[in-house]
Amino acid sequence: MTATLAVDDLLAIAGDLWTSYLGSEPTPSVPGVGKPAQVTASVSIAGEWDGVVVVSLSAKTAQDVGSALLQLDAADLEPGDVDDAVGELVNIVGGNVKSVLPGPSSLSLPVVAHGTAHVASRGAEIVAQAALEWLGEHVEITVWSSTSTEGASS
Amino acid sequence: MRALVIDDSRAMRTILGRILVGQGFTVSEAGNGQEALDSLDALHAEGDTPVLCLVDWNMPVMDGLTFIKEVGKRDEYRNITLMMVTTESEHGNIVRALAAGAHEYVIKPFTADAIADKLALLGLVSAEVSA
Repeated sequence: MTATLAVDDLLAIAGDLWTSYLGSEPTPSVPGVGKPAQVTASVSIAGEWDGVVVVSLSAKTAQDVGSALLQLDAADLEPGDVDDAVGELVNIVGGNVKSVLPGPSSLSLPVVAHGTAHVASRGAEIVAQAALEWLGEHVEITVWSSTSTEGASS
Repeated sequence: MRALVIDDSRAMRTILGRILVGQGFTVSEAGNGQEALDSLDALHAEGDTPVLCLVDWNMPVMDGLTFIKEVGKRDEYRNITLMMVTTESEHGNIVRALAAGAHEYVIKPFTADAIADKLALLGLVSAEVSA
């Protein structure tokens, strides 16, 4: 099914999320200008609309997300905390993206990968992509749509 | 008053736990529905049955909707207030959760004030505390 999802939708979702949990709102940026992502988190949406929501960020930003959500200094984070926090971040982004798209559909559990992501893209296309600046670092949110989208991987 | 926070994300359990402690609750945590049922049974055996469960929807092992249905089958847990806290925002799923026994429904992202207001509406904290 054809979906309408605007960049402004992604920026609004990110704004609410960052303000609620991360203490400061990100500023809009331009996709593709940042350094290659070091951490990539994704959730799949399956149902009336099929696709993948991907959040890409630097290792430093991933650590900042973990510190902010858990209110811990980076040195006090336990193994798995950063992946857990980034996974919850993409879970919330994905859930809110799903609410804008045709339903009913279901959301997968999040997957966090270390490295630059690609989506197995036979027939897949980017529906919307937004970039943010937060604490001086670049974050990208990309929504892929396809009946044959297989998910993000490192 | 004891509350049980059920979410597969430690970060989200920490956020919710912090809010509940601020509202005067003693907080236990579980990472999925099955762990939560086990925790309920253990706490109940100690005479410390939670008055409130905050329940995520999408979790491994046992999801939140199944947990709510399981709690509804047990008479000893009939007084527990069940609040879904989830990214799941489809109208049909909200109706399913409420029909299964959820008393309240909060969509992520939420603010601490939103949780506090819901707790006050449910009569679990006074409006003064929630403010």
